[in-house]
Amino acid sequence: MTDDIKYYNAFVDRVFESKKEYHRNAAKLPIEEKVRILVELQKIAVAIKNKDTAKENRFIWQID
Amino acid sequence: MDKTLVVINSMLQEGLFRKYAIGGGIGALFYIEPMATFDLDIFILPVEDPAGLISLSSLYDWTAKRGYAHAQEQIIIEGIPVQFIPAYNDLVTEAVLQSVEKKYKEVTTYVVRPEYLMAIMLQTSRPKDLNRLEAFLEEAELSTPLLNTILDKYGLKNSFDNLGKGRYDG
Repeated sequence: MTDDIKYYNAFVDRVFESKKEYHRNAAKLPIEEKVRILVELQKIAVAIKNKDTAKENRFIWQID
Repeated sequence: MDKTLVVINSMLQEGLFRKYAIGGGIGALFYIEPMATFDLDIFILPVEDPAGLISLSSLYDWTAKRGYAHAQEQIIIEGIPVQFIPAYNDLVTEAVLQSVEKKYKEVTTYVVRPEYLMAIMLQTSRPKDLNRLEAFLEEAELSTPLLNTILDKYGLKNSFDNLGKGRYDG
């Protein structure tokens, strides 16, 4: 294995580990913050829905 | 969501069901990073009538009297579509019985343990369940002995061990 490939593989490993760490940290957020994010995700999902395939009952939570 | 949980706790106190636990995507939300989901799934241990039959009509009547709209099989409680799901097999029943108490803001609620959520997802095995299952493996704090016990008990060990095969092994 050349040095270039070793360097590349190490770089990719760091990128993946960094992504995992991001997801693990997001999993540790307080549930109240997760629900706030969830409502934003609902808005995005409804905004980009495909009219032909989207479920009719997608209801963005109406919470404070 | 706190207002919704207060209403559900009132239903529990008034005996509309024997016990409840949050499952599904919102149950998962307690343990993994947020993913889009729209329903608040509430697994319940229903009250049986003297003939041993299970009916959810009292639950629907109770919410209708309080002005909560019904949309198909969901009930919109304080701005959130809630799906009440009677425990439909032994695994889900045990998941409700073994649920853990948690707080949302100041409100006490009950949530299915992550190990049981994983087993239920494995049993259901829809694509979104399998995606969430992978997130649990990466992100959730789990008891491996408990997970193994549940998987063995409900015959899910092989499915678990084969998770991801075919998608990653080419």
